[in-house]
Amino acid sequence: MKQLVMLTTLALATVACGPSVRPLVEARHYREAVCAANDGVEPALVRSALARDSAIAVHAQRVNHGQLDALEARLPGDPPVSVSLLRIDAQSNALPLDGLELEVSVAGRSSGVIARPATFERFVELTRERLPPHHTTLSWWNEANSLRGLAALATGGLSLLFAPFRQEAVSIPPSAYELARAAPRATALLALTNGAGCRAHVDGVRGARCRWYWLVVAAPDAEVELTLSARASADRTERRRDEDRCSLTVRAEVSLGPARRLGATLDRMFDGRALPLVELTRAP
Amino acid sequence: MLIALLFAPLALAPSPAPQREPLFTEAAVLRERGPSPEYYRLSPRVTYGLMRSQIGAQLCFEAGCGGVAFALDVLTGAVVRFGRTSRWGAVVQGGYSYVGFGQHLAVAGLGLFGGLARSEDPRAAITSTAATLTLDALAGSVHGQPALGARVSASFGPRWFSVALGYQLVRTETSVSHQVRLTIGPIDALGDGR
Repeated sequence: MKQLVMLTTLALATVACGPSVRPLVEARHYREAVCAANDGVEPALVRSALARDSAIAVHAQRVNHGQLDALEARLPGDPPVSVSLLRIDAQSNALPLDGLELEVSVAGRSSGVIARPATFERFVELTRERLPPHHTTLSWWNEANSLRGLAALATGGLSLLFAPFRQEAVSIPPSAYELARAAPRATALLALTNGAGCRAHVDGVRGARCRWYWLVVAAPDAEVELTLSARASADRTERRRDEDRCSLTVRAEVSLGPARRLGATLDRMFDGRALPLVELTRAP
Repeated sequence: MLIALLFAPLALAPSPAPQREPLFTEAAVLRERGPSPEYYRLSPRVTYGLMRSQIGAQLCFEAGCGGVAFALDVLTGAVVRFGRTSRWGAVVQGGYSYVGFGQHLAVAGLGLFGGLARSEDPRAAITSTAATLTLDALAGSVHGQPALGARVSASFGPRWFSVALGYQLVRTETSVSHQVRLTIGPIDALGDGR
């Protein structure tokens, strides 16, 4: 019985044991380390090393524009709600990984905050401008005709005797020009959000420089919070399916204070300089 | 005049005020020190399904048992790899074995599987060499009589055509039979167990 227990323990140890993770992160073998953490081996150690080496820096500011102030004045509420367009920039070092994606979100620490990525639709909701309806037109280019075309090819054209091409009604969204004419205020606000998106680093390593715009509509005293996450990923050596990819997320939350003082808080916090995320999360 | 009216809404939209660009320190590019190891990036999966079907001939040494007969095995089970990087694993298998001497036997056994590869290429996997050593318990009937027995078997060869050589002892109420078998057939650890 004793021998059986020893044999089982030895077999389990052989199956379960792997190399130590500490030397992996010290030598920046992050692909291996992320897969180790993904499989439950020392995730805290890998997360902490990733946070240190990625050196994520962030900067946020409230975009000042007359149109935004006009919006605030027009929205109902007593006291009036606060409307802020936040521009958030983040940058990470480039690390030897198969993917490093930065994401940001803004939310309230309690109720009374609606925060969404700033899109044309969100601006239209705020400006309450009416968008033109979709146009309807008849078109030969439709899904059914492409199937009829395939059938015609397969049957040498015989199928067209029974299933000829037909025009169908298709819905065409309004053009950018029509949208701009119908919603000039939302268009002007959207123009403030130019340059949003991420730029990746060079080949072989992964990192990014990203910019996001978030629209925050909140009760004046509602507390606003910024969450930034970095998702590091590594491919398995025998990757056959997407779910075979290892990943580990490093997340940090930064309190931005009450909505009505958002601009002043951000100016004081950043003063035009990007700050390391580690420093921001330590701040009271 | 018409053109001016058309563009009026756009002209009314105020141009965006320039925003101050934040100051970032230049991002560093960090690279690995030394060659990239491969352990955790290998799949953590260590259990694979096993399919094994073989046909061949069985020799019986006792007088009056028939000499040579057709043999067929249909077995299934699992392979448990000894660690992520190991090419070896433990086999648990079971199934049905028919021999032309009137034997219908249930098979259940344990063993070793060698040759588990880590290839991404399925063609390379199917032509890779595998070796097994198994010990099976047998229970069933021989010419209608209840029978019990044991079999030890070793196989070697490419996955799609492994050759197995085995010895089995089958005991009924009235006789004990020693038999040698030579079978061929594919053996595969399914899934990632290449």
